[in-house]
Amino acid sequence: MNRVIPKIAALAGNTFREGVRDRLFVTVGIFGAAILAGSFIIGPLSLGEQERITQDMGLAAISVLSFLIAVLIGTGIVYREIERRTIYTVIAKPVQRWQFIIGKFAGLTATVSLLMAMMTVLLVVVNWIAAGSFAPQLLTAVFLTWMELLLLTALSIMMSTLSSPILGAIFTLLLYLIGHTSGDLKQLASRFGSGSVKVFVGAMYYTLPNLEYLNVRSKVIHDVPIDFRYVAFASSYALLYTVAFLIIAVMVFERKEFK
Amino acid sequence: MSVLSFDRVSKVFRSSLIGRHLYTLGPVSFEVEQGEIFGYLGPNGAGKTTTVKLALGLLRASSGSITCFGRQSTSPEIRSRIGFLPEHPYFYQHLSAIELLEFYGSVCGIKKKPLRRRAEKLLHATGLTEFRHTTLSTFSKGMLQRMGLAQALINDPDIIMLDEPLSGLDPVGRREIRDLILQQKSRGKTVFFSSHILQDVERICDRVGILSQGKILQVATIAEVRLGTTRCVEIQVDGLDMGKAAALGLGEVTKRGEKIVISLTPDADVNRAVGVLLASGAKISAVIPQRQTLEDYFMSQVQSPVGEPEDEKSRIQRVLQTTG
Ligand SMILES: Nc1ncnc2c1ncn2[C@@H]1O[C@H](COP(=O)(O)OP(=O)(O)O)[C@@H](O)[C@H]1O
Ligand SMILES: [Mg+2]
Repeated sequence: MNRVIPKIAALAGNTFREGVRDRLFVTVGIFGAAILAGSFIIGPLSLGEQERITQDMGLAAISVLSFLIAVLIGTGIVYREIERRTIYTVIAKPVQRWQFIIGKFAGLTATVSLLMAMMTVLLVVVNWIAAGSFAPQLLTAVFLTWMELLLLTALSIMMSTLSSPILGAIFTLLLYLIGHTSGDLKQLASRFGSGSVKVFVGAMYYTLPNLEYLNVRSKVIHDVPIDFRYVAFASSYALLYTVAFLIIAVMVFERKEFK
Repeated sequence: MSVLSFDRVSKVFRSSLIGRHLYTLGPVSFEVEQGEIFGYLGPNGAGKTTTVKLALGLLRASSGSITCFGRQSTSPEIRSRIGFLPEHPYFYQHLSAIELLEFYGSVCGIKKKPLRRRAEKLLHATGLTEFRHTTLSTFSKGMLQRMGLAQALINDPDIIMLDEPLSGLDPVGRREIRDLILQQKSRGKTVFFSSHILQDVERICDRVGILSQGKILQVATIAEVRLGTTRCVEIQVDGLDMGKAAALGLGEVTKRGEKIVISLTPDADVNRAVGVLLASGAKISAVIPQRQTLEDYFMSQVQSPVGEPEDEKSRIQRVLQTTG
């Protein structure tokens, strides 16, 4: 019962190690670096817009590529352990099932964070070279993207306790797309939709996470100041969903039998 | 003192939530005593793996209770005293041997320094020291089995549950694993050891539970099983002719080569028989108990289960009734 933290850390460490030793991680990392470098090269073509271009492309790349890693690794993270039967010996050890899930979450979060950190450093450097100055707002945007990734990582892990990786990835992608467009969808529905469509879109809007809360890229690019209270609100919002997804994942996993 | 105890434990697999029942284990009851090697013997599909998984909480029992050291076997406190080697062990392919052992050790809550020492010791004991930095994806079946035993022992458990630990190994590998198991016993540890191979069980176990089609047919000591398998005792004698030997009325008399062989029933008084023979001037050249092989014994047990034979359907119904 004691030494809970070291146990979770061991599970997380192993997940992290598996993540960064995955060819996928290296591929995505190289791809991200290429995009950031590319934004620097095509920047000058955009006459005076160089800073905005590198910022926009950079932030978008960080967001999308981190999501890619979270989904591709996360939606298989529990399922594959069962399928490859590596889970037998782990679950037979004196760990509790919730510790296993939290360990997986922490490990994958660390993997995603490493990717984000590397790309952020690159972005800041490229931006510095392009603009000659450091824009602290960039870090605010990256921070909220990180919050979004916590939520998406938890969502992917929840999916992996429920379904196969392919199905889980499809659902996660769907929720990601809806999450980034549900505000627009609601507006469209309220303007043009019939009654039942309005109810349906409304229900989706109020239950599914609105990921646009965590997207402040356009504000950053256009130098609109971001209020600290907003960051606190958006972070809490993301954490709430993260915790909810993890609770569901634990509840499902607690009931699992390993045949 | 019993260390592990199964009390009317059963497991029903269903094909789906409301689907047909596919297979039933049990209800099985048995006790594993402190410090013994308990062999769990049964043909493929008998339910050995299911039994082990139930004890570890990888599967949930449909009814009954499993206690280990006096408490529910699946609680984490108890699991910290159990070591487990699954049937065909699979490990993380991205880790090396030493990394894997250190991972399992820290999952058990062992601190870094003692863990490192213990991991090195176990690698040595299982003959894997030279492969300590080799990734597991390149390990052979035998190496994986040894790795499996090493990880099962990482928390220095009081009881180890080994699911077919000798299957798929070459003679040298079998011997090494067997020695490691015996070494655990000599340290006062308890071993639960499942196998479908009789010789392995007879060689190292103190007691056996014989399982067939999800039911325990018998739990007995190896000595009892041996006794039960003695068909007759043969006394080979010289200096006696067939007629005279038969007249003594000790048992069936046959001639084998130059020798007269008198077969006594297993429960006959061998001392008395020898006395009678000596008194009648015979020269004893050998007294040999003739044993059924354990294999024959096992087959006879499996083919004629104790009690009324029961068909699968009524067995499932009975188990479901006891399940409530
Ligand atoms: N998940 C499952 N669903 C249905 N039947 C199963 C499942 N797992 C095992 N069985 C059945 O249970 C029986 C016992 O299996 P097992 O415990 O693996 O036997 P053993 O280890 O003695 O070979 C087999 O007939 C097998 O087909
Ligand atoms: Mg088996």
